[in-house]
Amino acid sequence: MANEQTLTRPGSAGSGRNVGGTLDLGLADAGKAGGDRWSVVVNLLGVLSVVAVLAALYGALIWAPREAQMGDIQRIFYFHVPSAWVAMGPAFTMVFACCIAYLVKKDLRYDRIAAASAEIGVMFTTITLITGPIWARPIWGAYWTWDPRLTTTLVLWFIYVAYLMLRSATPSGHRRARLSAVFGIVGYVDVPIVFMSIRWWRTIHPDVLTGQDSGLDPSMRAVLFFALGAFTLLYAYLLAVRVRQDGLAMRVERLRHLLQQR
Amino acid sequence: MGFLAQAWAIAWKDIVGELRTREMVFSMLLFGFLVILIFNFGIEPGMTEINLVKPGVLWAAFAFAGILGLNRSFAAEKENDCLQGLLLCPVDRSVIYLGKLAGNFIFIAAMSLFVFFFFSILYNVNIAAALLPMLAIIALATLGFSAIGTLFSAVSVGIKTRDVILAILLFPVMVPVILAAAKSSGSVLDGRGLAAAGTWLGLLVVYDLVFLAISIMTFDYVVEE
Amino acid sequence: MDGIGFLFAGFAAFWLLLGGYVVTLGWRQVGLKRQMERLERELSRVGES
Repeated sequence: MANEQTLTRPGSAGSGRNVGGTLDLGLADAGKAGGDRWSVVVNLLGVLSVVAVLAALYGALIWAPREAQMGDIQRIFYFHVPSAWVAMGPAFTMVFACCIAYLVKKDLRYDRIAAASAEIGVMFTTITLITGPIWARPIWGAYWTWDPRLTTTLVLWFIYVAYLMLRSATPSGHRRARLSAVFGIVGYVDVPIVFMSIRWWRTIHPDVLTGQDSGLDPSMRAVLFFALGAFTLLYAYLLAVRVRQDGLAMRVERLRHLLQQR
Repeated sequence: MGFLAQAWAIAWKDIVGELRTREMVFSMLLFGFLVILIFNFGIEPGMTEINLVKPGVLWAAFAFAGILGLNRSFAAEKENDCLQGLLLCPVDRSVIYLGKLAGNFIFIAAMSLFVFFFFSILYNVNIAAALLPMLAIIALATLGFSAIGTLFSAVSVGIKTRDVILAILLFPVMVPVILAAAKSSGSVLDGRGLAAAGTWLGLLVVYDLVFLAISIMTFDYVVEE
Repeated sequence: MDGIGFLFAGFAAFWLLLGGYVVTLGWRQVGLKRQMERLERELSRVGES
């Protein structure tokens, strides 16, 4: 049918137009009640987080003193630790909270926030898992040492990737929300147990050095805490953007359904 | 009919159905044996560190064969729309969960026992000394595996890539169980006995309690229509 | 690779991953916007007929 063709064929008439600066991440997302005010807040958050992260980069590379034992390579620490913290702290805890909230309130908005938070959490976890070994190689001579924290992070990665895969294998709606909520709860509760079990395991094999928070210089601690804050801001911004994008995707779906019914 | 009696009725239906067709039991067993065999060709049988590797081989076999057992459980229901029938019964959802759990537990534990015998022969294990402690470890680990496994089986029922999704969901969450079970088994097979594995057994108990509770609480949400 | 090489690799990895995610988000946003416009146009066209 002619209608279907124009809908599904990319690059069809007029779509090459750039509608008023929309190459920004959803700047002109009007049409929702209070949308404009929210957009302003989100964009402000975006600017703040970008500035903060860049400042953290400066702090990590230039302002922070050179570490005595490990040298300049230690500077990755200022981005590795906050990434891990944002993933395990705000991101996955938000997933857990929203999973419970969904099961109690049955409001799909909680489900959307959980999904977005999980996605961002997986991204930060991936960053942690890649920067960790890059840091470990010159220091300990091996990419992977089964260090309890990094190993738990690896299991964490598998758990939340499984969460995302469950979602992508299920059609959207309340059923998917229910199933992912249950899995999200199980996964989050499992994490401390995983950490404990791996730590017990590793203390039996003390061939691993984990002395990375031995006496931090106060200026180093300052950069670390600043980076933690910057990354948390970044997480909040990405979450807002992602949830809003999900809302847009839902409206697109709804419109498509409407059209197919004619 | 009492709560437990209802759950047992469901478990019994599962067991009887399985014993009649014997479909899954033999394939699970055979698969468990095969995993042990394949692992064996990957390692040197006479190597000095064999004791370090034995528990891992055993529990890898249990994990893979166990997944097969879980898959069987809800798949059979789906084929005959039995799940719908079960859900129509005026029973507490927890009854269905416990019934399926009992069925899964019995199957997987029984299978694990047979696989352990096969393993003992291939790896010259002193069965007399090891049997009872291993039974305890197998029971605790299988309980944890079945508790979450039954829940996740219900989660993955409607999904096209069902079998793979179940494994993807289950294995990461099972890490503490596999670790604790392998470490305890190592202690037993080495001759150090169950006492040396106290912490690991404690971990298994905690895991079982926590996830049994969570599964019972969340099962309703998974099967509600 | 010496220490500085790893340092560079570490930060490069960070920016690549973060950048990759942001680019994916932006690309998805553009795609959704286009679909939205197209659907709205179709809707108004069908509504008139």
